[in-house]
Parts: sequence; C-alpha cells; structure tokens
Amino acid sequence: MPLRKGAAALGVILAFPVVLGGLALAAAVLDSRTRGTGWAGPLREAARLLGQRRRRTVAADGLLVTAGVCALLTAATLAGTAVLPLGERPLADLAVGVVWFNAMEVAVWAALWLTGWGANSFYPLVGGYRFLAQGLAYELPHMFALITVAVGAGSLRVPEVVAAQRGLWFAVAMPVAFAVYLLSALAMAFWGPLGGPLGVDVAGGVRAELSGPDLLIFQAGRYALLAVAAAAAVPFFLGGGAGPGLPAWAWTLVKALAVLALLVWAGRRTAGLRMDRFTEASWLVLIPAMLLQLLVTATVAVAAR
Amino acid sequence: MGLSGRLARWAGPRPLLVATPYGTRPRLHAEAEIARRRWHPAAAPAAASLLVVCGLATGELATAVAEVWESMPDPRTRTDLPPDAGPTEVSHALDEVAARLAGGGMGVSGGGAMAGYGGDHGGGMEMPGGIGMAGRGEDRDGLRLEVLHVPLGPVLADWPGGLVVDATVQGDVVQEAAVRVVGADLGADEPFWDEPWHKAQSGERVPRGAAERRGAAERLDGMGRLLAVAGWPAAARAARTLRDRMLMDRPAAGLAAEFARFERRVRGSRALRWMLRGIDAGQDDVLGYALRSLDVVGAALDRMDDDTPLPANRPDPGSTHDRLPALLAGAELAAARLIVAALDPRTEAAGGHG
Amino acid sequence: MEAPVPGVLAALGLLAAGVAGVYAAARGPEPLATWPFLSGARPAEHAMSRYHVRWYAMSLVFLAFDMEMVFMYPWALVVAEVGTMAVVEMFAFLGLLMAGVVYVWREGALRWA
Repeated sequence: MPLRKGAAALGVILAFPVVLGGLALAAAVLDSRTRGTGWAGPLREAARLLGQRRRRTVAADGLLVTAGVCALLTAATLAGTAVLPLGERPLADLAVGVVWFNAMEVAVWAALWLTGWGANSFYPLVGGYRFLAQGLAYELPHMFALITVAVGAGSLRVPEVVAAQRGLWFAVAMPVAFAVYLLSALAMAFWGPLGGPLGVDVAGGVRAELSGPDLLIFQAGRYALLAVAAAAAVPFFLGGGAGPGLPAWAWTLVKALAVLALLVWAGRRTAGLRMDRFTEASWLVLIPAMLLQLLVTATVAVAAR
Repeated sequence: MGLSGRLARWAGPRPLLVATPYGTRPRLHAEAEIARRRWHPAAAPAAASLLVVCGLATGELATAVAEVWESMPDPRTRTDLPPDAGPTEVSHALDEVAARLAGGGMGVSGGGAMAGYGGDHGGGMEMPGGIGMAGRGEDRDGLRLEVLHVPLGPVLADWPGGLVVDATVQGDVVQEAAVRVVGADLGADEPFWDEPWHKAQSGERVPRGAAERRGAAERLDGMGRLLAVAGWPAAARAARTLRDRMLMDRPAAGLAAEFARFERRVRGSRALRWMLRGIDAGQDDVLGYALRSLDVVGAALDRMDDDTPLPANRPDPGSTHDRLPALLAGAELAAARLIVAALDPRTEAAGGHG
Repeated sequence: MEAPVPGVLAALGLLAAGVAGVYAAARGPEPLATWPFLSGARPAEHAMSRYHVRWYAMSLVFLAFDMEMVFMYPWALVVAEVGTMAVVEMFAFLGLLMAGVVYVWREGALRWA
C-alpha cells in the first residue's frame, strides 16, 4: 500500500514538469504555425539542433553563456512548477506563492544579460541591453498587476487567490490588471512585438552566437517562459480550475492553452515595440492606470470588510 | 541512410541568405522556395546550416561570405545561385544541398578562420584572439565611452545586397557612418528591377504594365525588409508573397483585393505608426517612406494591364547613398536599420562608392 | 506548508537531467572556435566594453519604485484589515513617487532615442 501511495505521489510530482513541457511545446507549435514553418517545425528544429556543433566565439565567457542559457529554462521551471496549481493544489503551497512567481520570473533579466554579454559579440550585447531596458519598462506594471491580485484575494498564497475568485474572476473584477498582465507576459517572455532583444535587426540579438544544444535549450527556455506566463494567468485572473463538467486540472489546461493561443495570435498582429518609445507610455499610461486599478481594488477590499 | 541521416533529412536545413547587388532574381526565387518548403531562415551564421549565396559574391563580398561560412558550425553546406537562376534551377539547387546536408554536409568547420587562435593565451599583455580592447571617444552626449567599429553588411539579414555601412558605435548608438558597396564590380548585368526599361531601351516592345509590375514588386520587396526590421515578420511575409505574385503574369484583379487587405493591415497598425513616426530619413520620416511605398504600389496596380509600349528612356531613380551617412550619425541601431530599409538604396553599379 | 521541497527538487532534477541529456546527445567533441558575427568582417576590438546606457536615469527611478514594491507585498495582505488608513498612506507614498516620475518625464529621461 505505501508503495502505491508513493507511486501516486511521484506521478503527481512528475505531472507538473510534464505539463510545463507540454505547454512549452504547444507554444512552440503555435508559434511555428503562425510563422509558416508548419506544425512539426519545432520538433524538426530540435532534431536539427541536436546534431549541430557548439560554437565558442573569441574570448567568450563560456561559463556565463551556459549559465545564462540554462537559467532561462530554470527560471521558467521554478516559476511554473512550484506555485501554480494544476487543478486544486500546487507542488509547493507557499504562503508567498505570488512573490515566489515574481522572483523566479525576474531571473530572466540575468539570464538574458549573461547570455548576451558572455559571447563577446556585438549583436548579443545589444540584445542583452535591450532586454534590460525592456525590464525597466514592463516590470513595474507587471508587479502592480500581481499586487492587485494579492489585494483582491487578501493573500499571497496562490490557492487562496483562486478561491477568492469563486464569485467573480479577477479578469472581470480587475480588467486593467488583466490586460497589463497579458502585455507584460509578452514582455517577460520577450515574445512577439516585445521580441526586440532577439530582433532580426540585430541579427538575432541575444541568441546570435548560439548554436546546437545551447540554442535548443535557450529556445526551450523561451517557450517555457511564454507557457508559464500564460499558465499563471489562469490562477491569477481566470478562476484557476473552476468550470463546469471537466475536472479542475483539465480546466486549468484548457484555459492556459487559450491564453497561450491569444498571446501568440496577438503577438503576430503587432509591429515590434521599441523601448525608446514604449517606456514613456509604460510609465505614464500603464503605471497610472495600474495605480487606479489598485486603488479601486483596495477600496473595494476595505469596503467589503 | 542510417537513422541519423533520416532524422537530419526530416529536420531540414536552416538557411542563411546572402544577397548580392546583382543577385535579386535568385534571391526572390530562393526566398519564395524557402517559404514554400517551410524552412526557417536564420539571421546569423550560428543557427544556420545552409549558406545560400544569391548571385555572384566577388571581391570584398566574397571575403565576407567566406568569413561567415567559416563561422557556421557543422553540419553545414553552401550553394551559390547564379544571377540568372530561374525557379526550377533554384529548386534543384536547394534539393541538392538539402540532400547533401542530410548526408553530413560539406567538410568539417574550424580549419581556416581561427587557425591562429588557440583559445585564451596565457596572460601577459597579449590580447585574446589578437584583437584589442575598445578605445574611447567622445559620444554625442559628451561622454567618453568605448567605441566599437561595426560594419553593417554586407552579410546581414533583411539588408540590401552588397551594402556596407562602416559604423562606429557606442552602446547601440551610431556615432559615425560611411557607406560603400561591395561585390558590384561586375557591372555587366542590368539591375533586375530595371529589366523592362532595359529591354525597351534596346528596341524591344515592352508593355507599360510590365514595368509597373516590376516597380511595384521592388517597392514591396523594400516593404518586406522594412517590416522585418520593424519587428513584424508576419506583415513582412505578406509583403513578400504579394511581391512574388506581382511578378507573375496574372491579371491584376485578384491581386488588387489582396493588396488592399495588406495595405489596410499596415496602414491600420497603430504600433507601426507609433514606432516609425519621427525617425528622420531625409525628405520624410520612415513612416512617410513606408506609406508612400504603399501609394506607389496602389497606383501601379491600376496600370498593371496597360498595354501601351514603354518609352525608351526612363527617369533616373536617383541615388540615396550620399544622404545615408548624415542620417545614420546619432541614430540608434534599430533606427539606423529602419532608415536604411526606408531609403532602400540600390546597390547595382550605379551606386558605386559613396 | 507541507514539504514543498521534494516536488520542486524533483522538477529541477528532471530539468537538469534533460539539459544534461541534450548536451550529451549533441555531437562534436570540441566547440567550433570562431570570430563573432559581424556581417562577414572580423572584429577590430572586443565587444565586451562599457556600454552607452542612455536609460541610466530611468534605471534609478526604477530602483526607487522597485524598493517601494517590497513594502507593497506585506501591505497587500493587511490592507483590508487595517482599512482606509492603509490605503491612504500607501497611495500618498505612491503619489510622491509618481510626482517624481512626472518630473523625470519632463526632464526627458523616459525617451532616449
């Protein structure tokens, strides 16, 4: 009996990374599909990169590059598998789950900059710095969105955030926060219109000198990040696993896939946003809008008590 | 063919295209064929496994191509498409290199370029790789910061073939820029975009519609580069598809509807307007150039079935090379790329050194 | 909190195994030593150098705001309990910061092209 129990627990534990991997693959497939490289594009590219030789540029800091490349996937894994519930409960039901998610996802800043700096090459360097500037623009509205969620729920524990949406999803109760979250999700995964750090105008930016397994892991990390950003919207704004008919885990997956598809689709429809222009809008429109949203949410929370 | 060969065949190549001044024809065919095969073009040699040189790489351009080839990791292969290559020829060439790649590619990389470089040298004053640290210079804001010498082009994605902008940069700000063209010394061919006019000049009867098509396609080709550099790959792809249709001899009717859709999408993009407005490209900002290109294509669509003969002398399109250095100085790299894409300088012999 | 560590460790272990597997499966004994990509030219100098960070002023404003965020997480937990006073205090603080943002904007630090 204890053996079977242990196997069940192991199954639950394994389910989280497996689902994350599946969502990341789904992100890659959706991306490839809209790019015109077909459904099988990501798998073909993975097979190709597995057979490709690694590179090392002159006087590169190989350790930094490898650390940066692996940090991307690690950040996505830690942000995605630990505190986001697949169904009812997350792997680690931390009292500060929302903060954990935020902290892990910020590691992307380091990951991209290390990768960009370490190659000792002009284009990756520019790409790395582009992401830092992007971080300055998106991170505050992003954090305000998360804090608004926490105020709405009165808790930083993710299952309690989900429970607080039993009456009304936060996507409806705090639409500005939801919209800002989706935009910052694109920025965090440097994807679509916020893909400047990997821009074609800088020959691929951060990833310009990556080949073979390095590029494969970098790309996997990026898609995982996009998947995590989309999946986090489910407990934070879309009522978690709540829904009729299906079990909670199924609803979680359906909603995560829907958000992912929305992000990919919207990302394809917009021209690239450069930070030398976007930053101003971010600080003068997004942050004040988020402050108003927070004020409304806090007032409601105080009044409801 | 073993398992790994079959896997490599299924995986397909990742092409890196090299445009040359007289390689427009094979480049268009290669771009269309690569899109049809669902290959994903690379923006730098690291990710690429297939180097596609469109046209003849001569002189300095040949050196640059060789350098890029040396920095491609294996398995890798290369194909050189002749300037007059037609669609079937391009398709065959790509078939051939894809098969060669599945068999392991051409040779093992890493013999030539870095032969003198043995990794980090043992301390002392010798600099790694035999190159020095960056020197410093005044920047446009009055700071003394490191200066890097960065040539933009000739081997660069979404960049006019053969164009080189020798830039000195601090951070990602271009401080100074000098413009030249490499690989255009074989001036025997006429520029691809001028072909109808050349035929008319040599006495052939060419309908005006043919020249209109060619002109519209040139604008769409430029739009493709501009939209790609502006970070909107989906719209860039649409521009290129339209460009290719424009060059096929089909009635304009279906084309007009398709272009209208594309035009609505581009004109309607607030993000694009927001990002392109106010970037000085000389006579207008980059947005102005983009919108004017749309106007030109729209006007050409109305005259596409015009059957009157083309006059023998064509108004000179003029060169934009001289204006580039002043416009690029002080621009951010992203803006510099947009400016070049908006002006879309011709690099065939007329351009020469400027 | 019921033993969150094993689950997260298992996920990390799986990740490490996957990454190691990818590197092991990839071919080539030695990475290709190469010049960085520079459009087909060799670099005249190393790219690692001080970078002209023109959004420097903005990064300081960001830091100020980011520090403030540290207070907001605990605040979010107690705001409903403490009531109106907590809202007033926090938004007075945020208002001060926003005044700084408006000043910085007027100085032109939010645009740098």
